Amino acid sequence: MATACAATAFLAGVSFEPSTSMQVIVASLPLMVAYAIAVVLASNRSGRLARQRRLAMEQTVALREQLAHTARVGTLDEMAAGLAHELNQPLTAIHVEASAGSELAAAGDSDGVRECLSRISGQSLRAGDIVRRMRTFARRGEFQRELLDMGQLVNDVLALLDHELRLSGINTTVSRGEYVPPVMVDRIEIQQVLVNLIRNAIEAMAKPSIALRRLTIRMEAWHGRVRVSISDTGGGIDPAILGRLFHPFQSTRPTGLGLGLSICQTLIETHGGRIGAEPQPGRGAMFFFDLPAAGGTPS
Amino acid sequence: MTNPPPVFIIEDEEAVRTSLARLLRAIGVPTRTFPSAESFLETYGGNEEACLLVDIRMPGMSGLDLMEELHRRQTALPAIVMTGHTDAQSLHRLDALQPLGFLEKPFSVGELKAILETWWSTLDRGNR
Repeated sequence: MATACAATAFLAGVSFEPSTSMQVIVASLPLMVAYAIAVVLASNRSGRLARQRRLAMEQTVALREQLAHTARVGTLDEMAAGLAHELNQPLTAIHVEASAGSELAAAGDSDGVRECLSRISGQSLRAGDIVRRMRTFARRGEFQRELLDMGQLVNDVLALLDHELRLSGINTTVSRGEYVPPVMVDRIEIQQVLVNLIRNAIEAMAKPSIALRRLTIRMEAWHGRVRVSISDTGGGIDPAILGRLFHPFQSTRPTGLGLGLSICQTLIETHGGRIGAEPQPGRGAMFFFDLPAAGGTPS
Repeated sequence: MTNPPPVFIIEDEEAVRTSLARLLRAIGVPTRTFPSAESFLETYGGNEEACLLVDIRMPGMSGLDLMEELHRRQTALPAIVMTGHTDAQSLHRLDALQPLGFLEKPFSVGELKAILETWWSTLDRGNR
């Protein structure tokens, strides 16, 4: 006890000899208590600060995830008509094939029936794929990094946007460098960035005056990173807004909040990447982002 | 109907196009298929008794554009239109074109057959 008191008093800046009388101990008691309270308070305070910091960080992450999810649902809402149309195609084909199959069965054409059945099987898988992609995209999940191939992410997104691209008469080219390393990313968030950038490109080429409609997606290894560029042959970027392109609430559309690119920037930066745009005067626009390359082979 | 006139299927979606052709052939209706409105216009010379089974939403020239173009050329054909969903403006344009019928995907084959039978009955009356 004496040693503890001495140590405490020493730490509190009071010289103290264990051999001194009881009087001194009693006299220094208030000081010791004050010190103890200060120590407890200080440790409590730093604990509270750490907790508050952790809570704030968790809230920031949760808010970012929530905002990204809300934006994805908004995008899906805009895409709903197209996706419904996309889903109606295999459903129509399945129904018509089934009717054809029963006509052919009545006529005893077993080869014809088999052909119908095989078509039905293929089209139902196709419908399932569309639903799966939509559900993955709309999922509200915890941020989860996986080792992924950028080419696969691009393919998934192109399948989701196939209807919009086809209906807009857009020619799509995907090219990849000789070796594009995998990336360690959250699948949904990077898909969201790709959907956003590609849908912007589709919209940029929607004007009837634009005769050549070409979307070019290029992936390459670039200084230890994976760089993806998305170029369109639309009207390009207005130089007046180039500087604040990624600021929130910048929109050239009559509808929409103008949060798309600002969310893309947040998502890419969360992954340790960078995003940018080049106006390419007279040739449309090019958006690009890069992500740190990961070692290993994607699963 | 015995020996019904052909149905020209104009539909960009391969799965739907081939399934419709298979079904119509199975019930004895001759068909020709076209993956786009443009490819139909390239080959169609006019003056043929036939019916169009045409998708409204297609890349490039839409089904509505095609029907209006045929009207302009005075080679309009009776048409059954198919679509996924239709906006008010398209519906208005469709009304003016007086199609034989309107099928919203996914439609039932029964609806398609009913429209075809109605068309055949008008042909029978005309022949009489």
